[in-house]
Amino acid sequence: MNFIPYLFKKDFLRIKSLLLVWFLLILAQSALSIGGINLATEFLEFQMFLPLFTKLFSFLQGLMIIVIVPLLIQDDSLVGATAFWFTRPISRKGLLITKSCFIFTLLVALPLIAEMSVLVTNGVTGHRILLAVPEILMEKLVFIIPFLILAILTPQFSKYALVGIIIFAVFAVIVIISSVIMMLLPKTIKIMNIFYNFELIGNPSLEASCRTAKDIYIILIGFILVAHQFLTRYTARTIRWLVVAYLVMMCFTRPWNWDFLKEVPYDKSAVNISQSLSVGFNPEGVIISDEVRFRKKDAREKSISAKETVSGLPAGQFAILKELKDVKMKYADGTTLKSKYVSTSKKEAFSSEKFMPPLEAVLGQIKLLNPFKEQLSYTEIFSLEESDFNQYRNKTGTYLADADFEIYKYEIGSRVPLKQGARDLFGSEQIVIYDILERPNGVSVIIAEKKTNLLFDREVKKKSRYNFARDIYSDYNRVYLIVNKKRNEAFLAEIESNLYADMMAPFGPMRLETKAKQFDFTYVNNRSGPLPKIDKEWLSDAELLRIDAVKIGTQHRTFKIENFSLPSQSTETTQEIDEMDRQLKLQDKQMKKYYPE
Amino acid sequence: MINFTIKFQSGIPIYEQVVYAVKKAIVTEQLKAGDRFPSVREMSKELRINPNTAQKVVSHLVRENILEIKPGIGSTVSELGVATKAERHRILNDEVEKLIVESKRLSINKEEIMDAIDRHWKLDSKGGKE
Amino acid sequence: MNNAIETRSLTKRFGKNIAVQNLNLTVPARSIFAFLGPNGAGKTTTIKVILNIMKATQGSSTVLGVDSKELGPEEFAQIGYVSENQEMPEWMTVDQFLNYCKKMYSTWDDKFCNDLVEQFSLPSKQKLRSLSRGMKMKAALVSSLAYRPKLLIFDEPFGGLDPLVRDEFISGVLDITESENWTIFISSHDIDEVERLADRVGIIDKGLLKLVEQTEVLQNRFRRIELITNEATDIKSGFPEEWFLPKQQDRAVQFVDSQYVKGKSEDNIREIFPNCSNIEISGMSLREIFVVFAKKFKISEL
Repeated sequence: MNFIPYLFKKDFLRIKSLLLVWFLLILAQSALSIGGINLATEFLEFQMFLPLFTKLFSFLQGLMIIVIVPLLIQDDSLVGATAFWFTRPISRKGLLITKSCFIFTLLVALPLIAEMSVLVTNGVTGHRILLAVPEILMEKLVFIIPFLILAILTPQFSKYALVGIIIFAVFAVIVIISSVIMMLLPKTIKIMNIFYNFELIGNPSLEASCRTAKDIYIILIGFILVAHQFLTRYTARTIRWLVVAYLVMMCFTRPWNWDFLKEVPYDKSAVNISQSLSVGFNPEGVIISDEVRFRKKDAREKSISAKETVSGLPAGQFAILKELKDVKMKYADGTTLKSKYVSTSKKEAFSSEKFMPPLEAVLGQIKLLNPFKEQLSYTEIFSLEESDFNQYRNKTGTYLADADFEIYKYEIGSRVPLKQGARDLFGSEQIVIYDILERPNGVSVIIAEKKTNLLFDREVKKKSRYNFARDIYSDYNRVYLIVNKKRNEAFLAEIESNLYADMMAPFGPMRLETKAKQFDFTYVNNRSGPLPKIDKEWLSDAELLRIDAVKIGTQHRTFKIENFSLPSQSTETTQEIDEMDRQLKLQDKQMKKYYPE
Repeated sequence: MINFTIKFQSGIPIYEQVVYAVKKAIVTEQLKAGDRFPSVREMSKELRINPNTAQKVVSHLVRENILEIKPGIGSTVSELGVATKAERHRILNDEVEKLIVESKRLSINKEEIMDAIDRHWKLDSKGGKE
Repeated sequence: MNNAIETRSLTKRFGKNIAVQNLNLTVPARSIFAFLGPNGAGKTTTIKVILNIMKATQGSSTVLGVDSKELGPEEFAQIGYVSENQEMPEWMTVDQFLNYCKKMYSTWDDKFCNDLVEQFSLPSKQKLRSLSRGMKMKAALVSSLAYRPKLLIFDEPFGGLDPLVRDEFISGVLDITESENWTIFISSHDIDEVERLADRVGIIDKGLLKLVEQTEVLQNRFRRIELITNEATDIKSGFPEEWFLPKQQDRAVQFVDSQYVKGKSEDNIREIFPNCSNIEISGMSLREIFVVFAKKFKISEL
């Protein structure tokens, strides 16, 4: 009554060539994940192809599922009045169980085992392996289920493909039309939130929680619908339930408030966030620039930017401005000028003022020989229409803005002896030193950075799905240095290059991120005076140090600048412009040195 | 193997036609006393008739003592199966009546019929085969 | 169990279209039932509802004593179904197909299966999709006969098949009747094949059952009557109800007696046609009877 062995065998026979391809594909993917980095570091050409292959294989895997599922299901169709098995002694329950076993074993369990093997051979251990299992299962099942549902509701492959394409086209059209509407009429974004759930952007763990809840829901509903269709063949009712379930899903995910995947917050008790934080703007540097918004091509907006300053932080800490709200100018005559939305996302320069001091504080005794001398970057502090700008420029008043800051602390994340093959395992991460190359003016260190990004790992910072600006803060986030313990000397990496990235995941977040990076350290630069040579002797006592920026909390402050006026012109000094120019030229030169092609 | 001739016509119940054919076969000595008679199964398959009908035929013939069933051997034509004189004449009368009606319709006179009878008699006596 | 198939007020509606209406049918065991009707009459629908391929809108049916809605592997192990519009795993070879089916039935007879394959000249190593229609139907037949089912249901099995294939079919089917327990239900729009085989005939048109009767009874009570009358009798008046389709040309009169009784009917004739001559009373084939029905009740002709 339950499992039907000959049916299983028949299905196996039916798609045996496809299964062979499937098996080979998974094998290839695993092999690539396990050995890929080695190949990439040794053969530069491979660096180009590796990410391509990875994406290609993932795509193929998805494609194969889209094709295999209907082939399996529709050989014993559940719809219509002509299927072969209807008048044969095959029970519905048996059919359901046998087909489910087949799909699960070959399309879910097999990739699961493969991926777990990859994780194991990459050094992931213990509870992390177990944490990966539910995530992988969820991911595979969530991909399979829509196609499974489509397959059980259509009688043959042609209909399956047709309905699938139509559904896809309908969704695509809806997305396109709504995007266009949102671009032309920004006010409608609020309404569109119903469809796209924008509120979750910016809070990755909340978004991940919502997504996980949705996935679990999809899997459960999927099973119910599939079982229902198999056992009753009441197609109309299955479709009705499907529609209702979809609507329910849309409803319960907005709003979504339960953040059960929130990462373990940093132990605040161990850290001291100063209450005596004060903020201001560097009065010497204020820039005015024009902005154009999409809708009204003719009307110009003016954007005022300045460098914000934060003082009062204890050693080793720095603050990043996250958001400026309620920005306005209050004037003596009682008028208030409100600013338009100001954007605080920007690429933070690894500036000397903000980041070097906390870095040096963490290094303690160790002297940083080549600190960066970049300038602070600008933040937009006011935005208004050109007409308003002309009216209020040079008028003195009080600048008010509510600001949210994120407070970070530099910590030593990892230490790896500077020897080829040395490695350090810390938490969900690993650093392996692949190679140490002599250079004319220093040394290059090639490492592999491996990180597991498991959904259910609470020690891992969740990545947002809508993360358009990936790692734009990476300069200051992770700092690599080589340190000579005997002499207490440290060099910052002048150049950091990604050799390649990303493996082994279809379309979702990378569970195992492997990045090969090359760090170039030089003792010849224009910033500092003559530096000790990085030679064999220096290197013999050296280790690779990684310093991580750890978020320890948030602070809310108000900017209140009296006697402030919207300036009539930018006061950025030529000195600054020259400095920026010089930095770029220097980078260019160094790139040419190490990569003479 | 069907050892009697039968040519099916539409309009007359199959069962009747087969019974008649068997009787005719006995009369014309195509089937002799002691001859093996085909089983229900054989008749059904070879004549392409309903096995129930075949069964009915056999039952009828057994009831009329034309066939007898011997355990282990099957059904055979019984000694008594050979028709009695009255049976024979009855069968014959039917045929003669049909012949006469046909002849009258076709405007064939009595002499021509007698000639035809003569000719056919001779042919059949020679074993019925050329 | 006396009846292999029984339906009670079986109704099936597709939206507004009533495909089968209030059907009451009984198919006794060990019989061959011919289910006749023009295309679209509801024959296929009836079968599909009986076998639980579709659900009835109203009414009920039982097969081998079990309610249709409850039919499960146990019952289907004793049912053989052959239909032109049934899917087959086209990607399999004949051998693979039969081996696959074999595993479903504990009563599968390998020798019988091989005999049939030989008899039908089925090419074992060829894929089903490359077979001709006739060959495919034969393969389907073998897969439904080899386990000697108690109930065989055919839905228009002979459509477009040449006479030789039809013959082979019937031969194969009759092999089933060797076992103790068998029933055959054939639906067809062509009456010729089933004429000699059917115990019972049912005629359906536009979803309604017009007639169910034993073929023997049917053939016994129908006679075509031809006679020459000497008077100008009005054939319209005074005709008994059971005399169908009267026709007259000059003095030749023709009609069909649907309740023929030997002796009595001749008396009736002489009563209504006192001075007639050349009375000819002839039996009618099933096809001829069916045509009469069709004309009489204006059923669309086959």
